Amino acid sequence: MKYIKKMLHLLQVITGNSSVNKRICEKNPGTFTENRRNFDVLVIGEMYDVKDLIPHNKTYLQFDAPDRTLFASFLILQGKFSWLNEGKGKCIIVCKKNNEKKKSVSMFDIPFLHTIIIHKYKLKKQQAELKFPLLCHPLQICKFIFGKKYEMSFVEKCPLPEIIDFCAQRDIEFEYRVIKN
Amino acid sequence: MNNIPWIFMGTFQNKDFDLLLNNVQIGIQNGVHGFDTAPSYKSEGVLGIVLKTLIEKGVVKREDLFISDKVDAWQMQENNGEMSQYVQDALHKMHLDYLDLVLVHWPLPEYLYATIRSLIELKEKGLIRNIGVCNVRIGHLKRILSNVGILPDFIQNEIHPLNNCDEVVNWCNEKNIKIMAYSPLCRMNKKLIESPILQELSIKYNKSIGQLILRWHLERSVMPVFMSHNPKRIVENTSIRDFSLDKNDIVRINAMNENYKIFLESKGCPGYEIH
Ligand SMILES: NC(=O)c1ccc[n+]([C@@H]2O[C@H](COP(=O)([O-])OP(=O)(O)OC[C@H]3O[C@@H](n4cnc5c(N)ncnc54)[C@H](OP(=O)(O)O)[C@@H]3O)[C@@H](O)[C@H]2O)c1
Repeated sequence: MKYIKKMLHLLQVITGNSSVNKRICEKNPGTFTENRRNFDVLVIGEMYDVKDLIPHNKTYLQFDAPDRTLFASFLILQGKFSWLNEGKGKCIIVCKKNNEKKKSVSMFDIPFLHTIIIHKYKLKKQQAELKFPLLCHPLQICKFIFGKKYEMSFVEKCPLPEIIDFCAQRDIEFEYRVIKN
Repeated sequence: MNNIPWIFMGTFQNKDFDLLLNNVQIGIQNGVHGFDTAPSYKSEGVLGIVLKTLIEKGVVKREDLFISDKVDAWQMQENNGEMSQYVQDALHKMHLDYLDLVLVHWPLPEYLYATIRSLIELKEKGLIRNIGVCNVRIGHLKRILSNVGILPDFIQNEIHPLNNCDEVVNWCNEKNIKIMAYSPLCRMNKKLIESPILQELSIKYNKSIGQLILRWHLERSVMPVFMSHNPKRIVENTSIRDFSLDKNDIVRINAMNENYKIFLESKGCPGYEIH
C-alpha cells in the first residue's frame, strides 16, 4: 500500500498534476497561515472579477472556481462563514444561470469542504480527481488557469431559500448575483 | 467533582514520548493534574503511557489526576452519535478504567444531542465522570438542556484576551458549569506580546505576559489549557498563584477583545450555529 501511494505521488509530480493540485488548494486560506480575521465580505462561486463588488475600504476573501454550482457554493459557505466579521459580514454568491439548479460538487470544491461534508455527500470520486486534475478535467483546468474572470452579473432572488435562511440565522447579509450565459 | 484542576496541560501536536514524559512530570511537580487530549491530536496513546509510567513510578496517583479526552466530529458522524465504542477504545489505548471528562469536540448540529445522550449512558456506567462540550455559545447550551435535559458539566472554548467570550463565560459561571480555555495564550500572538497594556502590567506585577494572561483566566474562574514543549515555560506558566490582578486591570485586559479566533468555528463545524 505504501509503495502504491509513493508511485501515485511520483506519477502526480511527473505529470504536473501535483503543481496544479497545489494551485487549486492554495486558494483555501489556512487558519494558521492567514492571520487576518473578521473580513467584511466573502465572495463565493464562479471566477469573477470582484473589483466592482467590493468597496475599496472593505476586506474580502474570494473562493472561486470555474462552473461552481450554487449548491457547491452553499456547502462552501457553511464551512467558511466564520471568516466574516460576526454580525456585520456580507456574503456574495456568484453563479452562472445554468449552474443554479445543478446539485453537483466538483474537484475544485473539495479543498474548501470539511471531511464531514465530503463523507455526507459521498465525494470520494471528486477527491480522487483532485489528485490528478490535469488528467481528469483538462478543459476546466485551462479555464481555471488561463480563463478570463467574468465582469458582469445581476442581483437576483436566490433560488435556494436554504441559503437565505442560513445567512439570516447567522446575521450575514446575503447577495445573490447571476451571470447570464 | 472534587478534584477539579485549576489549570490543564494540553497535548495538541505533542506526541513524542520522552518529551511528553518529561513535561508532564514537570507539570505535576508544579501543581498541574489536569491533562487534555483528543483522538485528532493522536496523543491519547502516548499520554496514557506517560501517565501510567508516572503512576507506576509513584510520582502521582490516578485519583489525583484529571484526564480529559474528546469525541471528534468524524466519530459523531460515523456512528450517528453512538460513542460507546470510541470511548472504550480510548480507555484501552490510555490504560485507564475511566476518563474524568469527555468533551464533544465540535457541536455538529446533526449529531450533538445523540452524542450527549450516549455520553450520559457512559457516565451512568462509570466509564466517564463528566460530560463537556467544546466550542459552544449560550444557544447550544440552552438547546442541549431543552433537547437532552441536562447542561454539560464543562465547556472548553477558545478564550484569551483577543477573544474573551464574556457572554458564555458569565453564563456558565452563573450556572456552575466549569469553563476551560483552550489556546489560552492565543499561541502568544504578536498582538499580545506587543500590547502596551500587557507590557505595562508586566512591569507593574513583575510577571511575564504569559503569566499575566494565565492569571487573568483564573480571575474569571476559567481553567486555562496551555501547551508548551519547553520545561522552563511550564514552570513559568504554573507560577501564577502567588499574585492576583486588580479589578481594573482585569477590565483593561477584557477590553482587548476583538473577536479574534485561531480556530474558526465554521471551519471545524460546518453549519455552526451562532445563536
Ligand atoms: N477543544 C478544541 O477545539 C481545542 C483546539 C485547540 C487546542 N485545544 C487544547 O488546548 C491546548 C493548548 O492550545 P494551543 O497550543 O493552541 O495554545 P497556547 O497554549 O495558547 O499556545 C501554545 C504556544 O504558546 C507557546 N507558549 C506557551 N507558554 C508560553 C509562554 N509563557 N510564553 C511564550 N510562549 C508560550 C508555546 O511554545 P513552546 O512550546 O515553545 O513553549 C506554544 O507554541 C492544546 O494542547 C489542546 O489540548 C483544544
